Amino acid sequence: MPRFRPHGLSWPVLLALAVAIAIVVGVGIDRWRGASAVVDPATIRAGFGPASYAEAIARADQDVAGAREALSLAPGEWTHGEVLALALMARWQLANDYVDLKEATGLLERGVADAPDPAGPMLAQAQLEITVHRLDRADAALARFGRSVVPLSAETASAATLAGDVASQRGDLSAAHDKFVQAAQIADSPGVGLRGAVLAFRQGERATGKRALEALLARPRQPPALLAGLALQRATMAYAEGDWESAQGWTAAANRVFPGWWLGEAYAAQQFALAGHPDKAIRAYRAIAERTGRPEVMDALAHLLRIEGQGAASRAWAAKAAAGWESRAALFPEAVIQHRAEHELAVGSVAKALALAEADVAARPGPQGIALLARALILSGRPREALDWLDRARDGGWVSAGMLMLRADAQAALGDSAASEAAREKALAINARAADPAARMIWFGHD
Amino acid sequence: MTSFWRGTLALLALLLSGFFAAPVAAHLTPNSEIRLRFEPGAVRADVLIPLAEYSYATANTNDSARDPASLSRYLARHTRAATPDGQPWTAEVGAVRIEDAPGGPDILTTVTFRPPPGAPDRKLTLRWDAVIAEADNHFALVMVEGDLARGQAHAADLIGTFTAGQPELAIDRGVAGHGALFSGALKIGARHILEGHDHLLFLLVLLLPAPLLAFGGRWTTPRPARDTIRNLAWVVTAFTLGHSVTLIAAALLNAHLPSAPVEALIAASVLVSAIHAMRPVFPGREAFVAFGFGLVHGLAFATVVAGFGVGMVARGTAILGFNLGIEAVQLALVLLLLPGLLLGARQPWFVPLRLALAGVAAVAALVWLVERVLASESALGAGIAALLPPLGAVLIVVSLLAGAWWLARFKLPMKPIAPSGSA
Repeated sequence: MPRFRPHGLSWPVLLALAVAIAIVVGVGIDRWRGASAVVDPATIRAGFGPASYAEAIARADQDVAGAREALSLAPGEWTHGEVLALALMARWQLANDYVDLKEATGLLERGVADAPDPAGPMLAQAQLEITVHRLDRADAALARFGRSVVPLSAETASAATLAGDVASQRGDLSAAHDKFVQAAQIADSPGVGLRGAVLAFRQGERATGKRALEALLARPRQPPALLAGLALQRATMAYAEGDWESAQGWTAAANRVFPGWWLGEAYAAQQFALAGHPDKAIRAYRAIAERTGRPEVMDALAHLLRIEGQGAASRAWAAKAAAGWESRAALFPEAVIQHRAEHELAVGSVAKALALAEADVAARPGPQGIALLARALILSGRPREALDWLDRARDGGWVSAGMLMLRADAQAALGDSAASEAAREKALAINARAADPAARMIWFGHD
Repeated sequence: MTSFWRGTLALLALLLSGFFAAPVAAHLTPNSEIRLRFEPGAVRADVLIPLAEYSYATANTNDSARDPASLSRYLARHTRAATPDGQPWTAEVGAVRIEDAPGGPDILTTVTFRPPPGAPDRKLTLRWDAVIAEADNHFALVMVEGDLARGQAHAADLIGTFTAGQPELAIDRGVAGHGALFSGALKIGARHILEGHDHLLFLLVLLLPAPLLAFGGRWTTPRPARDTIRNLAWVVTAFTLGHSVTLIAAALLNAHLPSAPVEALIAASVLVSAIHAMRPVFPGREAFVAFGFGLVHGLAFATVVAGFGVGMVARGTAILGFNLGIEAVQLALVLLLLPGLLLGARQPWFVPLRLALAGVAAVAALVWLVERVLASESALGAGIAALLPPLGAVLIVVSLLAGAWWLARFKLPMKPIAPSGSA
């Protein structure tokens, strides 16, 4: 039987055809991978859940009251204590009253003591310890959870996610990635998806990160608070690329789906400054700071006032912010140590910032902590050490224009013009506005 | 509570994790800049301090911070230079001015440091803590922008930062004799004219009609080669004389001229010469015009030599080197284009080429004139800046090829080599 041979197509032609198809497919995949995300912020719609920050606070108060009542009916039942602790932690996320966290800590510690090992509220405790940046205690809680005989799949996913958070805060981005992938294989949770998206973005896979985050944003019927938080994360990615216009869109979306949230309003105030209206931004920041007493907003206000040359007002707000941080530090020093270092670097004292950043990085050598330490070292006349830390962050896989600009500053302080310029060019390739004077006005979502 | 609810709560809590708190970052505040220029007998520091940072540090408002006298006193208190063994240099704060910039207004001034008699003028310990003394998270970036002895005119060479932890920098730029000054200035002169498109374009449009004779308001027949060379020599010499006169006069008198009108005049000189290259406007008087416009171009060169030091001998040496650098490039350019001019003038295609080149020069001159009068830059100007270097390179290559072709036509008579043993 004669062999089939395509009429007129010899093997070189077929080979060339195959190569051409491979190239086209390759280019197509590459373009698809690199394609910018396409969700329009104006189109996102929230689903169930409190429709505003005020409603969310009221609901959180109800949840805490209900859980407290349940615990009072069965005071020896550690599971009721865990439910109350989780309700308190949820309220803390909104209201940021550290007294809630303190009470949750006590409840969880009691539950851990009362429950037979390895049972107990271990995941809740691990999450609380991660929230307040006590990583060793989080490790211990996760280790005890790991001894559970048959954990639920949802709990296993949570444990993997929390272990990823610990790794991420320690600067081990590779381990964090593995843990988030493990969690994602078990549970399709927005919390896990968000972590994966942010990590991919920070590891240089920016298109992948944005696409993954926008896929979360496009999901239907999501709680307004969650959707607003995701939108602000997307705005943060836009800032990291110098895309202030997109950041404006996502900030507006966050405020539309979850109005009254101080963080969304603070992003919006920041946008006024970026749009060339610093006076408007100052008024908006001041209104939020006076209403909420949030030291983060006071710091942003003090920083903007400094940039605008209003020294006396800047120092006054910086002092109020410092008092706010100090009172929180009295309850959970590790939880606010980075914020205090950030405060001291921007509107306080470098000597204090350096001490805080060194203490933070000693316990938690994650990229954000390293960035604060590097800046403090540069401003303290120790650029060589700053460069060593920046090398460590880079070797860990963290890629950001902010980190590269810090490297440029460290190299400049060392008198290495070529290396400084090279780092600056790399930063500008990520964020074309990294050296724009107006970029200094970005407080929320700055990298 | 069932384990189902516990699992659900654990996941729910994860949704509300720390991702929804305000992120932290190492925020930036505007920094100061100090650009040092090493000149024979002095170090000049061009200082830039963001007005807002000064206001913040000194508890002034932006309005009250604008007083030049108090600014001058403040700067004098916060800067000091000394020899490595501690002998103080003098520090003189120049006129203080405030200029708007994209990041907000800046305080600008020049501080001139001079060493004590007998001390080296390139080795010092510089101390600076303006703004830093009051706000320790401020820093000042320090760079050397000009170093005559190293042939460095404008390129920024970073040397470090002044911070709260490092308010002093030990600076050692080595030893520089008159030879180094001369060669450094020569390099600066050569680089200045090579990078100054307007000067080169002016020279080119002066050269274009040099091999032609004007008749009846048009460029017509080619001149004899000897006349062309003589004409070129006059034009180039006149231009050299013109710019040398103003360069040396301005440099020796230490005259500081406003650069904007000078730059606009230079653009006008290119435009007039480009029109002359198309149609004779001042035939036979090219050398006088070259001298006149040379005076203008010399004013621009003088802005570079303004930083050539304070001692007369060193200054004279540097100006001589700078001028010779300019002349060397000019002469090289003329020699490279000479074959093309001499041979091309006899070809029919020289007419459209001359008109096209003169047209390009006229358009460039017009764009520069508008940009310089309006003090703004345009995309057209950037396009012209990108076009001119390759265009110049093409012209030189064509000219050299023409010269090579001309030489190849003359074959030396060759005597055949007799086979060995045939004698």
